[in-house]
Amino acid sequence: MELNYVIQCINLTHYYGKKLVYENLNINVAEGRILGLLGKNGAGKSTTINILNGFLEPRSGQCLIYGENTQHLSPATKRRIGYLIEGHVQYSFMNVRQIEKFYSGFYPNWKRDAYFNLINKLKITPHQKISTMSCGQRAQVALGLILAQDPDLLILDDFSLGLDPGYRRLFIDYMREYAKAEKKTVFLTSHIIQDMERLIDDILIMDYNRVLVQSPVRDFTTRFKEFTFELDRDDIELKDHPLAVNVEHLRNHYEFYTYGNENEVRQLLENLGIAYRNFKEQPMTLEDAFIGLTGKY
Amino acid sequence: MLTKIIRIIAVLFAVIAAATVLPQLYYTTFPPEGRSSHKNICYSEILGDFIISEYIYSTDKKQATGQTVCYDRHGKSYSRDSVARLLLLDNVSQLAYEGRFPDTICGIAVTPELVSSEAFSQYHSAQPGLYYGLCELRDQKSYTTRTLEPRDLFRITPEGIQFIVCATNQIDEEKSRLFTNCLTAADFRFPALRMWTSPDKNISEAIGYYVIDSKNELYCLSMNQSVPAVQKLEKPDSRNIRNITFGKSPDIRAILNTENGNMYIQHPDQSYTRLELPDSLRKSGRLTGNLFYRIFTLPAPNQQTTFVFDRNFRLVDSCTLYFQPQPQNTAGIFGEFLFPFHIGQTAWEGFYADWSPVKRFLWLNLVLAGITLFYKRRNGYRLSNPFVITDILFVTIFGIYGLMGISAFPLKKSREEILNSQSPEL
Amino acid sequence: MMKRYFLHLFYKEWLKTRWAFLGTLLLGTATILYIFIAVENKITLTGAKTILLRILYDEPPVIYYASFLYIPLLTALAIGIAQYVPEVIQKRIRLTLHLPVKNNILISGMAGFGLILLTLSNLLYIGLFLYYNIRLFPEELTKPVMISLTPWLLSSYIAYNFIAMIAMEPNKWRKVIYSVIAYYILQLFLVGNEPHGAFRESLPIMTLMVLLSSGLVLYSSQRFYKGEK
Repeated sequence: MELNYVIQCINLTHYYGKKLVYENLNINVAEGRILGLLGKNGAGKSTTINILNGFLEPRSGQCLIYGENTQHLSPATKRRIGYLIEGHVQYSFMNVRQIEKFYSGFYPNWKRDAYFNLINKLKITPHQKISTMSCGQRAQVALGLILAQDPDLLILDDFSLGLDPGYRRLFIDYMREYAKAEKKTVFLTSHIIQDMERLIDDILIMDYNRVLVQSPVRDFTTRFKEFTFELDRDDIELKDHPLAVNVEHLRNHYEFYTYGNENEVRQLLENLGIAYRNFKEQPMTLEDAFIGLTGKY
Repeated sequence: MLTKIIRIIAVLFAVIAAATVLPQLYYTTFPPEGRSSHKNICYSEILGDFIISEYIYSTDKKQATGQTVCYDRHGKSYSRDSVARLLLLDNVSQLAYEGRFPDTICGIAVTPELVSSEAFSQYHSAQPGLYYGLCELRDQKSYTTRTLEPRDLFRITPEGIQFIVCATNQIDEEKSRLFTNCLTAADFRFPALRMWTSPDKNISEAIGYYVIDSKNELYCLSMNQSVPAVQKLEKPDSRNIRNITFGKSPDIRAILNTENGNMYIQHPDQSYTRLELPDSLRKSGRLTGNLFYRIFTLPAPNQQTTFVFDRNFRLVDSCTLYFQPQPQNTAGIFGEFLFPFHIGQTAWEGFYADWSPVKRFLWLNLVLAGITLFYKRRNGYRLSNPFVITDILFVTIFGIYGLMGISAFPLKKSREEILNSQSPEL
Repeated sequence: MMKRYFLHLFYKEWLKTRWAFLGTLLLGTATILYIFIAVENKITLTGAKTILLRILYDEPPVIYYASFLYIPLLTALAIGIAQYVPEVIQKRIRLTLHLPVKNNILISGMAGFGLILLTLSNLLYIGLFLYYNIRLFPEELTKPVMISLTPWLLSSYIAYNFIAMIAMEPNKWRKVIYSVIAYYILQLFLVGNEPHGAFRESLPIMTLMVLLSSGLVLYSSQRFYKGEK
């Protein structure tokens, strides 16, 4: 089945001055999928979001959304994209009615009810300015605006920033239900990986200068494993072995991260003549897997 | 492309700002000119010749002092003391104070009071003063009673003369009609092209206004006990009159310039005498007078010519004084290399650009253009990019201003230029 | 026919600028009223003809409207700051640039609204000034005075266009450079202490500069949304 790619980044390369951010990055997001972009601070997530939104011109390569270069998106394509800025930034001088009135003029299919259904749940006065709202209330306003716009592609930059667990759960539940019901494509980033785990279909993990993983979440969490064991010594280096993706140890307690299976790891230790004990496979959440993949710093 | 064109406009704004402010800052900090001597000229009724006094600054730049030397046209020197005896009419007060003022000068019995009463000085300006077409016509008898002091100002329009009562800003129809009829009767063709009166209130009351009508005829308009007085005056020649000032001396009613550069003295009997002067249109000068002479001084760039006339305005003698242009110091010369021009603005002529000698600033401009070219090439810009050529042209023409402008708004490289530049280090 | 979204764009701009606009309008109106109250007081004390002659012919000139010098500039500053500071904080301009309209049209629309407000305020100032001046003084004074006011009114457009450019510029050092350039360009417009009707010869070039400056915001906004530094 031929996939329709909503987002395609082809050989994307960018530098800030002489500092490389990434080189020849390739990303594909198929229609109807929810992709989560994970990475440590400074890995290039915001850079990618900015390039996707046309706010940054890459040094080379290109990003396409619905086949159009993001540097020159047509108004028709922009109409199909909903964008949530990090921190749920909105025009703080407006109140909820004014902001709806402002945005509604740009989208012919504006769904007023979708917006006010959500807004009416907020405990705010009709003329309360957005600047006086809490982070969670602003997130709800932002969500309402997105639902009213009814875009085909949603780009959410750190949607969970500053939200308490209640609002985060509200946001995730709404977003997932909305995306799946309406077959929307979502591209999002967040630092709270538990939230992403509830929401995303596909995962893209970036590290400095490169992509580490780009696959469905289930594939990743199935294939990527953590094995723990204890050794007699604490100075054994296993990181360089091809089987090891990452190895962390605290004294003689080792955590071995790999795409291999248990037998392969045991075989490795035996081939190296390393005595081990308490060998176990550890169940991992997505967060555990991310830390295991990228390291603790 | 649009952004690149807007960038050029932004660079031009930067050039204008720099050309306005940098020369000002520089020349305030480093004044461009040195000191040159001052010269003054007087006519000696005793010698029948000119005496020139020159103040020469000390060559020691730390000294602000100098000395005055006096000499005649043939180079003969005179002491300060002897000069005072040769310029009796110009040194009345000093000589009278010292008790050295003579009883006769050139055979004529004089007293300090007589000499002082005959002395006058006035400025004949080529630039018309402020003129808004709205003037005050004072009554010739207004000094007698306040009731004759007018409360209005007048203007002469294509429809006629209008007196506007200042307190109400409304036209005094009756007075306007009266004066309009009087002017019409004198064959005045409306509107007035120009009007002049004396800045001296007494003379202005007495004479009123000299008015040029739309046919370039000259009229005198005045008012006596609220009754208009209009007199058509003969023009000094067939040419149109361009400028008039009124005299401060009893033998001079007015001084007129006609469009071919002639200058005429109008006497109280309204006859004219043409002054033997070169083309004096658009030239301001000073007219001084004493017991024997009328002396007219006409300045020009780096020179000044003094014409001496007798009391009948016949030319007696003339002398041109040449001034050395103020020497330029190093700062001034360096400024001409550094700044191709500076932009200024005057109230009545608008913006101007004052250019330095091309042979001076062009060298630095070419050097800066060369540096710009080197920088562009080294940083991967292509000469095939027309905007790179534009930048180099800016620096060639505008010099340091152009360099500042293109630095304030750097040219963005094209994608190809970025990719072809040196690879950035990881 | 104006596209519908311009109305919504203008709505947003109005929400930002209304109080600044009304505040400076009030200040400008009060200044003009003050000018003519002061003139009328002087006329009452000294006499209309004396005052008029002084205004016309005194040297140094009597610039009875001198207190109006900075009003158009202040209006531009207030509108510009009210319009662009909220966009610059947290780069909220991204919200507008993300709308389904070409970026240059959006930026031009924003700047166009500011210029419209500025023109409305300048027209009101001119109207009010003319109303009182014509009542008190003949046209021989009114016309030169309006010529003297024109550079000050034009300075508001230059100031606004530069504020827009400075606000949209992503690099803070370049903002400083642009501010310095703007300051010295404005000096050419904020001219006074000359007889009425002075600087008439400068008006064509000043008008040209105003027209050319209207595109400056597109330069720095382009730099902004290309992520240039």
